[in-house]
Amino acid sequence: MSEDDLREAARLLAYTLQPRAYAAQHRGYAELLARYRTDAQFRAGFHALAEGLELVVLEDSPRGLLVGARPDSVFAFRLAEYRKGATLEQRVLRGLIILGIAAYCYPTRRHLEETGMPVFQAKDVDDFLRGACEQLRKEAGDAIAMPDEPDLAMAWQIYLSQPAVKAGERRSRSATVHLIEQMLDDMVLWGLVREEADAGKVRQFRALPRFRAQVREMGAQHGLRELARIRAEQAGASA
Amino acid sequence: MDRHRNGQLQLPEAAGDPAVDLAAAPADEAIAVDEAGEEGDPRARRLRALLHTQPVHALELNKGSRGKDKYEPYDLIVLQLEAIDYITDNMDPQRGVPDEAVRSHLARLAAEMAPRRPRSEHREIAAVVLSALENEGQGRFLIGYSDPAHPGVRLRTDVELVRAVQGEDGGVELRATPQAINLLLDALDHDIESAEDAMAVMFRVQFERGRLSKAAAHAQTMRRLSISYREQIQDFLAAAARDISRVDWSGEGMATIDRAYAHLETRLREDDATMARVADQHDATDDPERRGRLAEILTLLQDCNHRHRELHTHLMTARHDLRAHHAQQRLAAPSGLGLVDVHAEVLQPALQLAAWQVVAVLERVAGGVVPPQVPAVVDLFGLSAYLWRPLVERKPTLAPVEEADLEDEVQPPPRFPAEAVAAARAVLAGVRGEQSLGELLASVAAGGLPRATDDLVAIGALEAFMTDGQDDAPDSRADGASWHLVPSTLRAARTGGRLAADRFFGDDLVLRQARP
Repeated sequence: MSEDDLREAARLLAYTLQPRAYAAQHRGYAELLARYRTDAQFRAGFHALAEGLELVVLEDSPRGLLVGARPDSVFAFRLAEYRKGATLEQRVLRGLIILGIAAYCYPTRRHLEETGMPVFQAKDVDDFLRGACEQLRKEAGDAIAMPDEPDLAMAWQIYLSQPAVKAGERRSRSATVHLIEQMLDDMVLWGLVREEADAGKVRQFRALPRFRAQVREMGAQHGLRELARIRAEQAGASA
Repeated sequence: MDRHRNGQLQLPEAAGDPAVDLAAAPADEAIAVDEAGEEGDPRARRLRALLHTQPVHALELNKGSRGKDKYEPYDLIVLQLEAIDYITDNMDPQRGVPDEAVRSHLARLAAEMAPRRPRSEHREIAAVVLSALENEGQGRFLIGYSDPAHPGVRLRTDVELVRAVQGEDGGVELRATPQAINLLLDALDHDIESAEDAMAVMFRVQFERGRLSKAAAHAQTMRRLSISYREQIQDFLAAAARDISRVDWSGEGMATIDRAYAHLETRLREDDATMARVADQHDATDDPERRGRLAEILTLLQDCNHRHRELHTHLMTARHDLRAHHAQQRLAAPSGLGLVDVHAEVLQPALQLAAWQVVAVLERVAGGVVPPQVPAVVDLFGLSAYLWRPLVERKPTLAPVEEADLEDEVQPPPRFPAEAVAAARAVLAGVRGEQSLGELLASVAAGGLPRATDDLVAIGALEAFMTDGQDDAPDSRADGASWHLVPSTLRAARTGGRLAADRFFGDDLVLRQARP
């Protein structure tokens, strides 16, 4: 691969790192994408470049090339660094909200295989998460109290300890519906959802194909693997 | 249905009625006579079978007549079937099941249906159920029906599903009658949704009635169904083998295989019987056309049977393999391939983890869901740009500022009462010669002076010690009133001894008036 080719591959990579860049909107992107699809050597070079940066091609669609970051990549999104200065509790809340939006839009495998673009409101996601948490509270019995140590509180307890909306007009930073809307605003910037125009009084969002691909190819699997690791650790600890 | 009171039942009148005679005879014979009497008319046989379920329904339907809502929580049909099940489970050819055991079993089930009702009522329900099944004594059932072969003729039959006998030890034992066993345990135990089974029954009926062309058509359909059934099961098995994680092995998956396996066992058994029957007829007949028909049917049936046998073998090994697979699956970590049920497999378990654990999972999920972020690197240029940025003008706060109620917050500082101050001044001014602080405090305690005078005297002594004659403190307030406790002439020095007083300790002081 020549220096020029390498530069071109890097340019393509730069396009893929802009989550809201679509090939149809940038001629350069479209040209590079066409080369990626037809020139095997260029494609291999691009993959090598991406691999070195711990990036993976998730999907090649007419909209563009979807690239995801491996957990160790410098490009990987980190909850711990998101909105710096967040407490553990806030990180858990924000993480649950990301997972909750994903699970609301794509609850089962079937939904991950389909092509629909679900429309929803922050309130829908909150109802969904809250319902799941309430169910767990019922199963645990009302006897379970919130532990004093925030580290030991169950995820569902943390979620239920926040109000859905703050009473009165003023929205609170910790009211979950507001946090979900805040997250959705960021997800708009990340090209995962779009805000529906003319939705009326209540803001409506629509999940975009990129969101599904990210959940299907990375998010859900990485989460599942981590859960399995925790389970194995617990099994090891109790054995 | 005729409902007879025991006293109204006229046995002599019923003597000519074979069905009623049967009621008096042991049940085993009843069936034999029944079949002998009504052979060749399966309609009558089916009708009688159907009628035998009537008392089971009747008890449930009429339970309202025993008092408003009294029996509402109890499902009497279920209790009757449970009674038959329990008795047949526990009886052996020689012995029945002790009456009391059946009663307590039923009472226990009744208690599960209505836990808040009294125990006596649960026992009562058990008694009602058993009495209905025995169909003895008061409220005995006789069922009247029209003979299907001769619609003008009315027949009657009684129904006895459980019979009480005396056991060897003299106790009452219960046995399920053949009627109950044949009907409630066997005849009703059918997969009534199975198209294959239905077609097999259709074939048998047509064949037995000699309608060979129709029977052949049904045999064709059976063959088609067996092919589609095989495909259905094979698709399922292939999907399971391909992606074992997609099948819910604890529940539906294995149940489907078990159901299919049971279905095939029945089919194979019946296939054999049917083929034997067809082969017999084929051998027995001389009519070439009929022989041809029968041969054709036999070929179709053999084809069906061949498929069933294949599938049965396949299912037997598949069941074993998949169980082993499943066992491995539970031990192995989930593979990276395949799709994930985000709600059931990730969200639900994550919600049940403690914060310190779940945060790692959420970190991974978020890292996967959110597209690559361009890292924000701190460089000198960026840092200086940040520091030199124009200050953001802060908007005046939008939240209404609440007027703090400060009144409550301010506690008046503790003050010495004026009389104590006056008394202390008098004590300190009255020091003559050399007096130790200990003596002064003792005199204050003895003198009945106002509260806190001793504190003021002690403070005054300390002040005299500290200022030691250098009177640089302002000794008057703006209004001219002196606030000094201590006359400027009072001097204090350490005695070298310790202060001996109730609430005070430290070095004792000696006080004396200096001459100005």
